[in-house]
Amino acid sequence: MSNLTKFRRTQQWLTFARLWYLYDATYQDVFDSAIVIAQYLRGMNKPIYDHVRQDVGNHVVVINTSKVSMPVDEWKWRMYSHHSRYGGGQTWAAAHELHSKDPTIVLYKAVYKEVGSAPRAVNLIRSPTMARLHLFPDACIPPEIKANICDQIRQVQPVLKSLKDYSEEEVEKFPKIVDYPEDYVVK
Amino acid sequence: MRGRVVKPSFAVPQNYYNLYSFGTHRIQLSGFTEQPFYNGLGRYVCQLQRVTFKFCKFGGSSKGVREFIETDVVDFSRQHPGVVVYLKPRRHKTPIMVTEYLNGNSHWMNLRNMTKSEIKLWLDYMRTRSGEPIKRYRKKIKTEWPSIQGPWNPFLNMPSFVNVTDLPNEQRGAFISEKKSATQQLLEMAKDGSLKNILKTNVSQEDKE
Repeated sequence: MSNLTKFRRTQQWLTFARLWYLYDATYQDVFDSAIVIAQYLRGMNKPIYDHVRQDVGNHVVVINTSKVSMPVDEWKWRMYSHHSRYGGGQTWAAAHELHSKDPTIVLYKAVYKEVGSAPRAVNLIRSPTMARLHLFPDACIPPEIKANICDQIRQVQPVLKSLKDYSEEEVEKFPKIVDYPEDYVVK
Repeated sequence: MRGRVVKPSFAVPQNYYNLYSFGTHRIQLSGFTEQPFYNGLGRYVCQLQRVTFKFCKFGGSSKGVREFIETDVVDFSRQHPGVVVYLKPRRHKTPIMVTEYLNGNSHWMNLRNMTKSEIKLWLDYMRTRSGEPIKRYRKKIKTEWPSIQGPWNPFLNMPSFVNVTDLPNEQRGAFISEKKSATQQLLEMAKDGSLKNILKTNVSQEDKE
């Protein structure tokens, strides 16, 4: 005998609702971002998270993926391989090459790795989890997707500004604590 | 028609033979406790409604049942007027007992070679049961309203300004550092006036002129 009323049924839907999160990848580390995004994708931010029985994952919309960053020389040294399944069909591409072809694929692969592969239960829900990741190279989001977004994931590192990003007023007003000596030759 | 089983129209209902009620199936039943909780509030209602004894008048395996019927069945029936007792003699068969309960469950039991006292104990056991099958409890408690505060929902601790602001929003999405950066500290000190040795070259040159 169950007491599942209309109210409690709606409460159930509310508890297990999938949320749509926005993430701005501007100047963010790909691999650090992927850890955070994968947690939200799998629903690990929820107290009801269950790695065995329930799929309580969220949707994540990532914008500005063309502006992602990598630590030091990682763009140069990180190689991605692809095999065409023909003899001698394996090819390698550096991260910056891949990024120039498709500005979303580097982040996609990083999240794909973080979503997990080892336990069987995770492996089974990997593709539906990845289907909930929406990557956009720039700030333009299709309106049907933008209508769903209800929260934002906090960035993993500060967005650094260069001197060009400051206005002349700000540069002038900035407190100066040292000055060049009079005989110093500025290059 | 060797090997073909034709059930007669008067075949005994399937639930007479179910062993689910004793949890003896290969996979044991599991669930939550279910009781007729109204029972005992006003008056006690015996959940056992009907007992059927099937026995043989001649067989040795039915000896205990026959003794039970001769000595105790009338007393049992007088003590428990709510329970119907059926006696069904049938030739050359093992004696059995089928108990049927208020909730519709029934339990089939073999009485082969049982003595009178054993049958009495088993009947008393069956009479005091609720009729629910014996099962493994998934939890030791059962409640229809597990949370008084209400279950968690994903909008629980979300600040309400998120609902009305257009995302992406810097206040919601920007990185929050644990420590202040040197630039930030410098700007704050200059604003407070605690930084004395500020050199403003542009201003000082104008002043000099």
